[in-house]
Amino acid sequence: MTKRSLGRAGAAALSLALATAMVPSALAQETGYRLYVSNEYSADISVIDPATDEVIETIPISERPGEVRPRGLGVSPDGSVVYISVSDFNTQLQSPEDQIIGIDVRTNDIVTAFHAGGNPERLAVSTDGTEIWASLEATAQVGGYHVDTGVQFAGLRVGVEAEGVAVSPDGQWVYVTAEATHSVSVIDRVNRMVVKHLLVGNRPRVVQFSPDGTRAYVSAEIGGTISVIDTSTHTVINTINLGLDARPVEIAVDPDGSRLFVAGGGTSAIYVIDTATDAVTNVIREQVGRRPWGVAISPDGERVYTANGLSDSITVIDTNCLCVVDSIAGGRGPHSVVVGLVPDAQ
Amino acid sequence: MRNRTLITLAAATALPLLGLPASALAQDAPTTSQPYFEHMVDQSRALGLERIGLRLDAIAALDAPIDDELAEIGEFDPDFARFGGTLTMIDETLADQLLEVLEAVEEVVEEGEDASDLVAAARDLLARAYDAVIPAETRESAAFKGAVMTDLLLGEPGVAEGFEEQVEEPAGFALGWAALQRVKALWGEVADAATEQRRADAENLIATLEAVYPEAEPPEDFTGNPEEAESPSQLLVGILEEVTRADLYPGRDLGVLAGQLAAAIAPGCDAYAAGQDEIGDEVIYAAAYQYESQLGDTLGLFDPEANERVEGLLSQLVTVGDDDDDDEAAAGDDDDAPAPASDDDDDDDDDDNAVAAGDPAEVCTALIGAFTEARGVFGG
Repeated sequence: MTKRSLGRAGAAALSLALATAMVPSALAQETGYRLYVSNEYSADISVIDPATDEVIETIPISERPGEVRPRGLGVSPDGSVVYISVSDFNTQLQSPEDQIIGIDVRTNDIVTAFHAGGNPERLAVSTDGTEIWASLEATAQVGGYHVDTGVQFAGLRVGVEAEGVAVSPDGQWVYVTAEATHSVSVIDRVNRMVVKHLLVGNRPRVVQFSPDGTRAYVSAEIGGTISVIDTSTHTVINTINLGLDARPVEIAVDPDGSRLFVAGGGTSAIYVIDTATDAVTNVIREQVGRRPWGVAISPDGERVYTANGLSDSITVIDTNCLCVVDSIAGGRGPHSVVVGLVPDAQ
Repeated sequence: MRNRTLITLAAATALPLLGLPASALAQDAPTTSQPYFEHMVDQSRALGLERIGLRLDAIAALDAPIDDELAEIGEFDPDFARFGGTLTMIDETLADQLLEVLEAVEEVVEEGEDASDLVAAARDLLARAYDAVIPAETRESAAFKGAVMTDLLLGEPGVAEGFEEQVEEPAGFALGWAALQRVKALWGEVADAATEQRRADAENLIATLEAVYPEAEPPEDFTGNPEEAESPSQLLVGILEEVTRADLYPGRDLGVLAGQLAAAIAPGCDAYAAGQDEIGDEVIYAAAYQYESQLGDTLGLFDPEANERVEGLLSQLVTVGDDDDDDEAAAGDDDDAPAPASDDDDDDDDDDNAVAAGDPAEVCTALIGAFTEARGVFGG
């Protein structure tokens, strides 16, 4: 495993890094993807090779762990760059470390970093890869940024304590959740304007679009629900009840759109939902780490990974048996997990 | 890194649930009580009594002289107003004695002297006031205790908020510490109803919070996570819902809540009309607390004018909005941010709905209308 330094690396450390990096690179090509896990309390990113289920590199994000935290993750459309929203723990503090950072999946180098004031919590990349939209928790706004320059081109008011962000597959809409106002704000991405606020479950966290873009799914932590939104009308058409104790946070959509995997932070369980019926078909509890918040699915849909905040681990689930097949030790306070694609392996 | 033992456990670790309705899948705590709706004003009165108790506990735990930046711990007036009218009506002598000793505590704290004896006397009077103001059947119910604990964990000043605010208001830390001690005591009164697992979960969360709050004295230089106490507090409330069989999040359905507020303040309006302003105020304090903590931000997003109307009416009756941080955030500061499209966007009707300051009974009646309008915004 490689542990990078933020500062100038010594020759010995660099040699070690290069030597260890070669092995996982070859392994990563077997699967074509890597996992990136943001660790809230150790202020770093764990890079995991799914071929071995081992952490192959740890990328520090800040020299102030415990004060600065990486949280939400997003991926460029081709999967080659993983973006991280970084902010001070104190949401009211306008820290210079409030920023968006980009990591090249091929090299695991930080290739971009730009300021995003207002305590960015989560982000999404537009489908053309040119824009990043980030929820700004402290200012009740969503910020739009040019990927190539880092220049902010939009700052739109949404609900209080903005959190989840997603861009629709057709690139037309940006959906932003807000915890304190139990809302989703719908943004016309092209015209850069809020067109609607809609009420969802209590304390919404994350929003995800279906692959065909016809539906959006919003988790509600206190409500214990998933709101199903018809994106043609921007209206809630169904509410899936997971139970008040479920405390759902992140949602992963199966590549074919047939199932949702929802991280239940309150019950340390993963809820499996059939999108054809909006029914919960399975609840995976046994061997899941404690307080899963993050969840991601492999490109082939064969594996689901959860970031478990209280057990400092990543749980690996086989989507065929819907059973836990592995557990990986992570950093401190895993928050989110995404899949980055290794370009040469595609 | 790999935990090999898990591989052998691969089979049948998912609970098959095909064919069952979603409601059957939900592991809901079977909530049978809604204490914030059924006893909204009593919960608010209890909150006032509890807050005074927290202040006394914090004063007792801190060494005299109490630092100037913590002096606000000794300010009891806003909390007394939540129940003082009822206490006066039931036992005027007790109300006078309590008020007198609280004023004495405040003075002694301000002068930097030891208030131990006065605090002990105040605690005794406060306990008697609690028994007088809150009916025994109510205060002994698990749902009521669950709601009290919820207010202590998530309200202000409370466990989660006190820790978060310590950077700007060190008194919040001391009051958060005191709130945690009170939660521990109340948890002991309901824990027998918990399953073994839930009891263990709750005690783990309480232990986590105790590590966050090792003592009443705020740390000199805090640089960690201000929200450290929020997640365990929220999770603990989730367990309390199950153990006390009560709905402890009254904002789950905002339309219902708005309707409940409209109905709940009617007796307050009657009290104002009868010249019992202190009783009317208690009712409005209860409604204002729920409005500000559960409804106001959301109404402000969906119908800013309706929110302004409610806030304006509330502020004519009682002191509200002692923390405007969220309001600033909600207002935003970006002139470029466009207003969302709305079918009934019409700035011209602002003045039509304005209510001039005046007779509290009339203001209260207008507030019923404003809450009813809010219910309509959320489809209630």
